[in-house]
Amino acid sequence: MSDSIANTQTPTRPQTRWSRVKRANWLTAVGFLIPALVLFVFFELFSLLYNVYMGFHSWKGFGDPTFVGLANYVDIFTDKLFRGALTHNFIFMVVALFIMTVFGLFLAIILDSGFPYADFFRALLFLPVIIPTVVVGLVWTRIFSTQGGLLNQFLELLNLVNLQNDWLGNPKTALAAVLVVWVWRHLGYSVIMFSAGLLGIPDDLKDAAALDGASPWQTVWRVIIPLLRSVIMIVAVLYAIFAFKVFTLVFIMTGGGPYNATEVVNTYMYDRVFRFFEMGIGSSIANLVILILLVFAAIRNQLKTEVEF
Amino acid sequence: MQIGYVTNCLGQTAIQEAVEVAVEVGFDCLEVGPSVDRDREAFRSFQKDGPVFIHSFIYGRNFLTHHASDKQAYRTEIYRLLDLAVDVGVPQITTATGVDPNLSLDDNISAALDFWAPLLDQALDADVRIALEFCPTAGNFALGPYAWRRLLAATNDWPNFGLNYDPSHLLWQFIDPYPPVSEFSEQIFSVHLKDTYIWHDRLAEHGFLTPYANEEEMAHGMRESRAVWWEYRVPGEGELDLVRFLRLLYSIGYQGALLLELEDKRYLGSRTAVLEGLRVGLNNIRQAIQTVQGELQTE
Amino acid sequence: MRWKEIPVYLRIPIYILMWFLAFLTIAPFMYFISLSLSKFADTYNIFLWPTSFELQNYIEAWNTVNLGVHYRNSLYVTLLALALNLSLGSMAAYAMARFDFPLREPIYNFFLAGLILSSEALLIPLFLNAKAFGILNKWWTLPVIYATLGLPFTIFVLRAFFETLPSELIDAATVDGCNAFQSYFYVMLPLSRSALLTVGLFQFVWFWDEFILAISLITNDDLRTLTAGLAKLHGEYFIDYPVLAAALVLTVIPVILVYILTQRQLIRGMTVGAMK
Repeated sequence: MSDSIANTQTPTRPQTRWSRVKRANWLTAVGFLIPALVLFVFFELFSLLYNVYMGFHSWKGFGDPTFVGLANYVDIFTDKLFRGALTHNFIFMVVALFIMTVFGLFLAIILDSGFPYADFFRALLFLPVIIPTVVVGLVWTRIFSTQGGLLNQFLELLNLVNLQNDWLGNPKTALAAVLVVWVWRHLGYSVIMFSAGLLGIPDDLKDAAALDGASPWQTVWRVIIPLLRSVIMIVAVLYAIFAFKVFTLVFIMTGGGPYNATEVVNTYMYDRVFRFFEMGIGSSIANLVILILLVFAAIRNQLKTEVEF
Repeated sequence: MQIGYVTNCLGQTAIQEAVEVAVEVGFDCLEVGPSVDRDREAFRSFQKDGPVFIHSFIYGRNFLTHHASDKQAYRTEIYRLLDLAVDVGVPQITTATGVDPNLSLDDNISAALDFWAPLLDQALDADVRIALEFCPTAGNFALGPYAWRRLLAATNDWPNFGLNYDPSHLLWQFIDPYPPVSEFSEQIFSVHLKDTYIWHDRLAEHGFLTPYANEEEMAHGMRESRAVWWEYRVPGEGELDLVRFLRLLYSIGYQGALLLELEDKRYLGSRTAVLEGLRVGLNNIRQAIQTVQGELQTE
Repeated sequence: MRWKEIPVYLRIPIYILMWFLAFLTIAPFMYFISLSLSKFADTYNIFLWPTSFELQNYIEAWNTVNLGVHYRNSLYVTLLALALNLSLGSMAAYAMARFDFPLREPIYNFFLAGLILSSEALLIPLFLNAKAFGILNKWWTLPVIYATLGLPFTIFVLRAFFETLPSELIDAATVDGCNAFQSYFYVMLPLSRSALLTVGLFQFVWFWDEFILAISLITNDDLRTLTAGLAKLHGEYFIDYPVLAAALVLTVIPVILVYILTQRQLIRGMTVGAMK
């Protein structure tokens, strides 16, 4: 298997090959396969095709859908709100690439270098990753609250009352607040990923560099990072995809407001379908999101084939 | 004629659910009450392209109450509602005049005009109709044709002021519900279809007045007092001759909507019950319409 | 090994940074645990340590905000989805690892294509589909859909794992008279315990956390899962914050328990998850 550095857990046994049963037994194989295949085809393939079809229709959830051709897509692209939402997703992506990836890498390297109690820190940082997003959203909404919320109370205690704010209600700070929570929740994931990658780099390599007179900084820059290139790419693309999956945090904390300051593509889509019953438009937006995901998947596949060694 | 329903029977709800109910049962429109979350964007979206539209808002309180804070709250709310109606394109607000039991009819009319004049002006400019529903328990002094005549004469300057005709209120007051339809045909903006059932034996036993408390909390949260000898029912199951009433509406050329107001205790309390009640009511209305249309065709 | 070589003037800020991050990570947890144990919403201790121990909040959360119902639903949905996903997924993976049949690779890639599609992207397609076939608001709606969405990952990991097991074991079993299903059930599965655990943990965390499908496909309050129930709670009336905090603590307990018990496997599962 490729990516052996990052894939430290799947053992490979090169010598014994599976004996392939003759084609006469393919009925058995199909028997094993059918339930999963049926469910998959029905819920994923069929749904997707139906969705593509509905993307060309207008439907209020009642009566018959009307064919409208590309009108939905025109509607979406000319909607300022959609463009704003898309911009916000891109902001998430930039944050993902620079804060989560770079900072996560930095933290992983530090922890891997012999930082005291590194295991404790790693385990701790990973904790937010498994807490249900709804819980995270609700807790932080309370923290940012203007009525007895932790952050404002804390600032008051430090005599920084002038810094107090309606964090989630102020259009200028809302997006930043949500981003903070998003990073809080997902940072541990990149730290763990990079830590796993770092474990795969033999110690001799790191020590050898030191013996050659390289400073710690040079060791990092010239030895570790190139060896981690594939993991870095994977993490970067992963987080970029995450940036377009954002929904729950925004939905819980701000609902897309205030004044659409935190609107993202998925909340925009949700609103148009479940608030305004515009099913056809929802399908069109979903098609666009899927397209974006496919683009990222293609990028990732491209990177995977490039970074093999 | 379009047929809709009043959302108060759903209790505290979201507009999306109210629309879903309308679609499920088969209504063309809704009258949105105060228990529906004010989702401005959603209102606008439904008003613009369906699947059902908002016929009117309904909000009736005693605007002439002596409680200063209540009065202020009601006032703020009705003005806010007018703004909302203008913003999202809802053409009517169904409401009450308010009542001061210490004043004479004419003085009540003056007091009401004091309160309502500015709002009626605003509504007139914005093309929003204000319809009075003469519900005796929601704070109204004009409960019968006599008072309506005087009130409507006093509000001549505002052609956007009219009536929301709900015969159920008239039935237990023993006001003949049919003649006023013809008399006030020009000013009937909308119709609530609701019926009243009267137990004549109980009436004989208890009398008209019920001095002992008999209050009940309605689904829309407001407590209303109920007499022992009558109750509201779905159209077609009470004292009202639905066919006769609809025939009358046709004869005056009524083009407005018929709104089913469900306050039938037998159908309140759960979503299933409410849906059932709405279906039964709608069915009765449709059958009556069919009968009347049949008559019209054979003439 | 190189930490000691970093000059002290750099080490100190990094120490501070790490401890600050640790504090930032743990503070919200301490906050809402304290909140769940207090009587009023705005009494708290600056060290975020509980000042009182009002267990009443937990009882109230369980009863009055319907938490018990939602908890039960989340458990049912998650466990059912897990069972369905692991059984169907392992069977499919087994078929592809063990047998050679026409279209095997295309079908495998077909499953893999599903890895790209997130539940958010599939929300509308699934909703339309479920609506058209009357599948909304059933007790099996979420379990079946979750299980299906998790199939690509399960198949991907398990196929790879199965292919690393020596075929002699199966051959021996066949010689002993086992049919395909028996070899699968009595030989392969027991050997795959760790892989199944890894995949299962990843799916568990994902199912327990899932939100967008949970609020959109189920509108019947009796069937709602925890995530949807909590969100609705937050959106509706004025909330008694300590009670809400208690509800949140209760929601988080299963995941934390699983984390403590299976930390390594869990982390491994989630890192493999990223490789997709």
